[in-house]
Amino acid sequence: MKNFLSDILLMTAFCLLAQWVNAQEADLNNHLNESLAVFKVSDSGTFAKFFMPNAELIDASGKTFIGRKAIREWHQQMHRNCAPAKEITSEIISKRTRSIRPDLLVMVATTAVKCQNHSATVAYNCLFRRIDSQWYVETCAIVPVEGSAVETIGLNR
Amino acid sequence: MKNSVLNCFIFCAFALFTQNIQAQTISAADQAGITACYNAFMAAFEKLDAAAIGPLLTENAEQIIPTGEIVRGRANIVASMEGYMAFLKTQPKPDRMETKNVAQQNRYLSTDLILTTYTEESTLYFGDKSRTEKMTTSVIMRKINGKWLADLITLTPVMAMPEMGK
Repeated sequence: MKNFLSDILLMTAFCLLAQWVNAQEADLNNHLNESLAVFKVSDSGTFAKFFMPNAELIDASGKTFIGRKAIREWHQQMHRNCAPAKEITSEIISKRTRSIRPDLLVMVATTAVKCQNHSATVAYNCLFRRIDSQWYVETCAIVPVEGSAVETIGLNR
Repeated sequence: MKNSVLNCFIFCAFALFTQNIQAQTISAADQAGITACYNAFMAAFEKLDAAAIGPLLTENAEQIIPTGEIVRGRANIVASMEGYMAFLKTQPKPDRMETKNVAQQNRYLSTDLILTTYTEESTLYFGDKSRTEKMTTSVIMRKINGKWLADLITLTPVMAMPEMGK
């Protein structure tokens, strides 16, 4: 349980992005909705396919996961740690997206997440790449917000 | 003490960044460009000259610092650095510091983008006392008009936690 919040922090990106309405990037929004739907269930193999094969994921503990296999295992563990919770909620505090190129988008945001009776606030960035009209995650990095519940539950020890 | 360690982490970020780049198959020309960015950054930092850091960032650069604060835009990052450097001047300096890279991943995202992620371990010595901290850093460098600039910097403190699945 000690690290379950850390495990779920990345999903905040998908929760946020699923709410991201941008007409010019509707295909990305659709993709993110699909990824969120998969993320909520224990289909880790499908979830990992939303990432590029060599994607990096840095969770809120500073641990790095490289590649779909590692991300799939991270996702599996996250669901185990969050059980028996049925749902993870999130609240957007701030967010900004920008285009580096037509096929590369960066999102930097802050959000509060809750799983079971625990909550935390995190800042993070994600870089997305579009290939053949499909969006994939290239990299995500998460930083716990100092003074948030992340600390009060001991995740920074 | 906590802030001093934090300061040193940021101070070393670009130093390790360059070391990481060298470990990957990065072209000689890009290596030279990134090294130039690093050298300029370090020179600015050593002089506590925040204004000199501005030209090393893209206009829309963003940074997430270890406290979780997001700083958006070159001007705001420079302003943040100015405050940070003013704070540094009030802090005790370690007698010496040892830094090593314990993990790294570097690759091209495109010909004009390089992503590097790594975890650095730094030990600061104050007399007979020392303290070790770890930080995972993610940097996206972007080449604009032939010059490599930092576009996105994220610094995640490493927390000691049980291994996954245990």
